[in-house]
Amino acid sequence: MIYVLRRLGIFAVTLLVASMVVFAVLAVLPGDPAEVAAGTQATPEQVAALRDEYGLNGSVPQRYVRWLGDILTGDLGNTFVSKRSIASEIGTRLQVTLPLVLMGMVLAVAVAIPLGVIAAVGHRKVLGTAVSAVAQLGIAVPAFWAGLMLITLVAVRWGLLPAGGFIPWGESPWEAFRSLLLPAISLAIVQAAILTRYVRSSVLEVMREDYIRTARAKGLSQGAALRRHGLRNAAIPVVTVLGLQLTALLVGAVVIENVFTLPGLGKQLLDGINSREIVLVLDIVMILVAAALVVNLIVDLLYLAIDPRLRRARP
Amino acid sequence: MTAALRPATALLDVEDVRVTTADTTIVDGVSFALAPGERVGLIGESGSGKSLTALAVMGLLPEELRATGRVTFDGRDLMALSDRELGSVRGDRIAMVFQEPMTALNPLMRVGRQVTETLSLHRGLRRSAADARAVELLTRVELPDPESAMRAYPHQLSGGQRQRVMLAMALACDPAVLICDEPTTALDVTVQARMLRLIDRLVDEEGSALLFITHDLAVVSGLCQRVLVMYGGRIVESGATIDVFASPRHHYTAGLLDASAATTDARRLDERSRLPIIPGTVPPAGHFPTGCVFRTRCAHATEICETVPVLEGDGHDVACWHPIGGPV
Amino acid sequence: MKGRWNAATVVGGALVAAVAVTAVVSWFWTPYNPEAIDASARLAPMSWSHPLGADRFGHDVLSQIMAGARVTLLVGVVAVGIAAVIGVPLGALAAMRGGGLGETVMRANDVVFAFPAVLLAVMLAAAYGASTLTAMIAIGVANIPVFARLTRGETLRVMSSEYVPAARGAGRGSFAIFGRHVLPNVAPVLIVQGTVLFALAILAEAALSYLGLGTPAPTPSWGRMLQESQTFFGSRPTLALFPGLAIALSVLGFNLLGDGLRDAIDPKLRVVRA
Repeated sequence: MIYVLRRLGIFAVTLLVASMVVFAVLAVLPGDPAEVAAGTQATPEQVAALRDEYGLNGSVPQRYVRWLGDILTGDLGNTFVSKRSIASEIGTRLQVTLPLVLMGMVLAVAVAIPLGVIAAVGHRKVLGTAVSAVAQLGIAVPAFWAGLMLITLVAVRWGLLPAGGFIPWGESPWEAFRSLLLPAISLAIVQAAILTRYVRSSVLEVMREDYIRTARAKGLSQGAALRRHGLRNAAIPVVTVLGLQLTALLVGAVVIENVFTLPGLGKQLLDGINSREIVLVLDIVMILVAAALVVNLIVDLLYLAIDPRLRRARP
Repeated sequence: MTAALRPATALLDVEDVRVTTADTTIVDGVSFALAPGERVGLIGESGSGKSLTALAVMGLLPEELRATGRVTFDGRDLMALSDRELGSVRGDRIAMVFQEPMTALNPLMRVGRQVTETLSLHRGLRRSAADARAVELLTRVELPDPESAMRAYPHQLSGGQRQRVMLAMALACDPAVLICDEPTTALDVTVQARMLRLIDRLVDEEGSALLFITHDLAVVSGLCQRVLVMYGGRIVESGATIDVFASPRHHYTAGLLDASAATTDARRLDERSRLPIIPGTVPPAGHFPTGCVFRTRCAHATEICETVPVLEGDGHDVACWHPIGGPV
Repeated sequence: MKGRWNAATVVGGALVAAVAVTAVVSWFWTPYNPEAIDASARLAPMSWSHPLGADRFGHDVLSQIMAGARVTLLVGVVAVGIAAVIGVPLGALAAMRGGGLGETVMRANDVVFAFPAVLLAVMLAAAYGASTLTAMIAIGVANIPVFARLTRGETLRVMSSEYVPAARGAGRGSFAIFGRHVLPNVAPVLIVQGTVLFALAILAEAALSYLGLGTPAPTPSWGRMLQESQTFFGSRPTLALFPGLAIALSVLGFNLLGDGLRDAIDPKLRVVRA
């Protein structure tokens, strides 16, 4: 359908422009990594050779095109200092960050949907108001602070879950899961609070719609009317928010990984910044930005699946 | 309340229904009855409370509003039933068609499913049987190409078509009472007449009682045997349509008739060719005057009108201290 | 336009006022110099001389919290300021001129939207070194699309009402139309959005400072206080408690204020909380 193609087109162009922005900002890093890597005893020729190897020669546009070409063909380059393949490095880190983000999202949604519905259906009663108030508090709490508090309580004082570190999935899936649980909960607390509010307002709006009244006039109970007719309609704005929040989760994961010293993408990014690994930083940032755009794309396409009014075809 | 309005055979008996918000009363003690197969029109302007009365009967008031009173149907008081118990009555024995076809249907669900929903809910029909019956219903309401309509989404149908779907849904289980709340007001004029004829025919075939709510007097005169005139949350006049329209007893009714007739009959315009209007405007809901609700706009109001007049009569009832044609 | 006082507005307003007052007061007086190192008070527990304790450098926590309010407010004001000053005219322009210009603006919006505030700040910090300035600029720029999109939507809505075409028909120029008709109607929504954004800015700055990419030492910052407290979980958990509480209360205040204002204006308003 034209909508899909158009959307894909916008996605591609936005991705391209974003990559230019990322490169433009990061490529002007002062300091010369080649000099640093070569050491103080190096000759100008050695430094120049290294610069060549790192792809630091040439004008900014030239370097950009080269970098873009490399990424598109799957060559993410090597780190300056330790000469490891960036691609495999990122790959290892992703097995921490991706499950973390997914767990956080799943936990948040699992909590937010029932809570949001309760808050909406009971919005004039004590329970509903209480849930709303709790959600309001949840939003105000910085995720990493929640993480710190959780560590103090759950890990240090009660010793239920590890306070940090990560056992790879390969070695012990159970331990890997355990080490991600507390971080995921920290992320989920804030996300659940935000989502609860959106679910609540969306369900409230739907509750007032005419077609719910029609459904009840047909004999459905309030609950059945909401379930069968309301939820799908209420899902539309919630899906939008989910998309936006996924991006926020990605960023939040970067921060949380520091709290719990998890060897994920976030930690790698910060380390890369501190050690001036331009290509590494470029690649990671680009991945995060691309992920954000992909999520938005998926959300837009999801609309198409949910809302038939967007499809142009005749019946 | 005279006996004539509450025959022992009343199908639906509404007694002293009041609809209130936290601080105001919008519908103030409405009583009427429907005999089986009888067609009653409920006339009033916006703000008179007519829609809310119907919603109160169905138990579908918005959550900020509270209703009190008795609504006897099938030997039970609907007001005393739980939502679930009411659910078995709604859609099956009493059905309702609403005013706004644009928003009354779920935009994300196919039309066919929305019709079959009533059938599976109340008659326990399985998919194929329900679908077949739904196509039958859609044909009855004169939808062109019922088969495609079944698979269509509401936004793909016109307003008139959507209203027909609503009608089909309402009549699906052969209800004893059909309530129509201004079903044609939101439709194009050309479509209105056809829709009214359709309702007329279907209600006739079904033998259902009809409560038809509207502000359009012409519609009522063609469709309903009896009429209730509502103003300010109260019924001010009721009786056989012929009687009420030919010789109205309440001044409000007379004013309505004058204004409506003038739009169709040029001779009724006064010398300066202006439409006769009722002086003043309808007060907002909840702010009606004490005593007779109409007294602030009535040329014949006197001191006694500060007390609420009772609706009484011999079949042609009026709630007025100075009815046209002398006291009852 | 600011209608009824309700619970949210009052509580939120009180919290915001508390932060503002603390910031101003700290300018003139704090119990101790928040940046002064005092080895003797190292990791002092809560006591009369140090009501909230002291950190590992001997900084008095109470003084740091008070002074930290300055950074918090500064970041919020500048970030929201940047986002509004650039975003609102852009959105209005896109709505009123429409056509190709409008489309371009919206596409550019989408590109910026792809950069979460924190990520943008990370990039700027990587390129130019971490500072409060980079944090503020990044958060502000990242939220330009929010204001642009909101302004555009609201302007379109206002313009489709009757009196704008009437004003145009009377010969008024676009600028005058915007100022006289559009702005007063759009302003309430923008103000509400501003408070929400303020809250987000506070959280973003805190996260950045925690990572070491925001306000550098020795300027007091609640986020950085959290990072410095991390090594002392077991022995001094209160070191992490107070800065976090301060952040949470400020954010709560702005959010409540936003909610209260929105309810006073129109409870059905949709606010973007990206």
